[in-house]
Amino acid sequence: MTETTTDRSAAVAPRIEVATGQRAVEFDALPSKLSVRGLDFFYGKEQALFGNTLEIKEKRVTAIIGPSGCGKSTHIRTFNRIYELYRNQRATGEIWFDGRNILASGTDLLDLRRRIGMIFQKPSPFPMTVFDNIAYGLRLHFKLSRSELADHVEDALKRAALWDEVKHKLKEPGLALSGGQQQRLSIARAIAAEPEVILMDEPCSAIDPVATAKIEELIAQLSSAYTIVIVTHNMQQAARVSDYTAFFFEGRIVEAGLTTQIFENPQRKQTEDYITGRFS
Amino acid sequence: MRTREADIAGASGGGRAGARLRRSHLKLADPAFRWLTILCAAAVALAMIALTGVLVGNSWLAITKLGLKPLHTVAWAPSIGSYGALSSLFGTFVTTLIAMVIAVPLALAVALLLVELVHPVLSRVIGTTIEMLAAIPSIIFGMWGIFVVVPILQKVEPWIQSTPLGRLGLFSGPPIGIGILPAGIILALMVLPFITAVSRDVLGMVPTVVKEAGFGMGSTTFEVTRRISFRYALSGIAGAVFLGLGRALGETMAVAFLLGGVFDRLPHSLLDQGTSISATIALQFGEATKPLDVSALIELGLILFLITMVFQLVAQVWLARARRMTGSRA
Repeated sequence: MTETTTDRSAAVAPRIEVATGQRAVEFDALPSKLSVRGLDFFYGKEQALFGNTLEIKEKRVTAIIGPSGCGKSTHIRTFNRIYELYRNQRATGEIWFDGRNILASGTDLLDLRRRIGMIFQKPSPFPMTVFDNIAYGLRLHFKLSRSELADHVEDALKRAALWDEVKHKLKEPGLALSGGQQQRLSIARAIAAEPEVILMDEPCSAIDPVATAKIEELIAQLSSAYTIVIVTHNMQQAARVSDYTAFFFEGRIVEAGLTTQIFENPQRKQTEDYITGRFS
Repeated sequence: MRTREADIAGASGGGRAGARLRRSHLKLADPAFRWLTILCAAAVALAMIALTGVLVGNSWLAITKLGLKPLHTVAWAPSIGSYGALSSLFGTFVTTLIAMVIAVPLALAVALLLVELVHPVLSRVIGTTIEMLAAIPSIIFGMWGIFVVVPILQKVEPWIQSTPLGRLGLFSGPPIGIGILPAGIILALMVLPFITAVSRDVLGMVPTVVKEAGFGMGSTTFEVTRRISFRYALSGIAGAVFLGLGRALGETMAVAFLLGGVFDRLPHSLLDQGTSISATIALQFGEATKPLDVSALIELGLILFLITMVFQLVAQVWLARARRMTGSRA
């Protein structure tokens, strides 16, 4: 992990300095972690996504924005196929992840969901201690000794910037933490399972501004090691945390590109109207 | 002369005042309703106290005359002056234990099936069927036990005795079908719907987001259920189990039919006959001629009452602990 981190910091530094035009070129050259091709989604007979195509760049933050009910959450819920918990939900099209179409039958869902972690709108600690929450995914997916387990838990909590706050509370119930801490606990829990992608479905909508700032800071730190996709209805947040933004409207991707470009120089009128708050 | 503004103000002001007047007689509605509900709640508490009073009052004769003797005497044989409660207590606890051992795992499995595994329509059909089981009068269960379960046990019991299990001593004695075991089995069936229904409800109340988070970590349905949902629902399930326990402890007719009515000794094995507190009361009341006989039976009732109260208290303490552990605010 340390190796990857140093690798990345070398790559991050120049990215901030180059001009927008060059960055766009550099961005297109970046490898995609997830490639969505012609994604349709149905709730029963009602279609919610219409032939969407989107590139999610590796170790970058992609924000998905748009008005309520436009299919943002629906879209990222296909990446780990969590929608399959519900009988009447169905996705067609292709989502390529490491050379495999994850929508194809025969995908190992348990491993897919370990590799693509998810953070939900509401903090969702499991009804167990802080330690056991973090150890949950580790116990599921890895064979670890007691001390290795403790090391991994500490490591995950440190990477989620939560260790200092909870190191003396490891034996307390996860539900006893504050809302913001619970959400970072959820992030730490996802990180512990060593995912490659982290999906965040409006992770700050249920927590206060101070806790939100901490999570945004955390997202910036995590983006050096993980590919992050964040759904948000907060445009300032999208502008602050993401490298890349996709604007959804009524189930379709209207425009996707560099966050700076979407916010400063949108190509479509619909995008501009939304960004400038002419409709929501 | 009034201005136009004053006209309008007066008109609208008068309108509002009119509305206030029309509802003014309702200003006592809320306090009245509050007192009514308080009265109803107090009536429940009062009934509880009165019931305890009547039980203690009517068993006072036995309590003063017999002292603690019933608690360490086995045989219930009023004709020879023996008012032992142990045979009844033993039967009550053993049949309840058998019932819970059978019913709890079964109920949890069914609840899980209903919540997580089957199609919602099928779930509703099965759920309703099980709830209807709770509506069947207990005498029907007793009859069904006599005419169906007992003949089956008469065939199964000799077979159990021939297996290594038979050597344990739990299954010794003549395999006549009537006794502790069938009573426990029927009790299990009777408490099953209660435990299932409550467990299903509490499992259904586990927040969707927590379950999704579980699946999102790469868990199987079984793992989510065992490691997350059951923990979340723990206090509720414990409540369900104690609810079933309370019913099993006090159940009368079905077990009175099936226990065999042996009042003067402890059963030797699961196949032997015995009695329970409620069965003793039901079957012996008609024969209770002397005031002391009646009083002693009421004392048995008092004991059962106290036992169920203690279980209820234990349940509450346990539930509180479970809630603290999971941190749930429910």
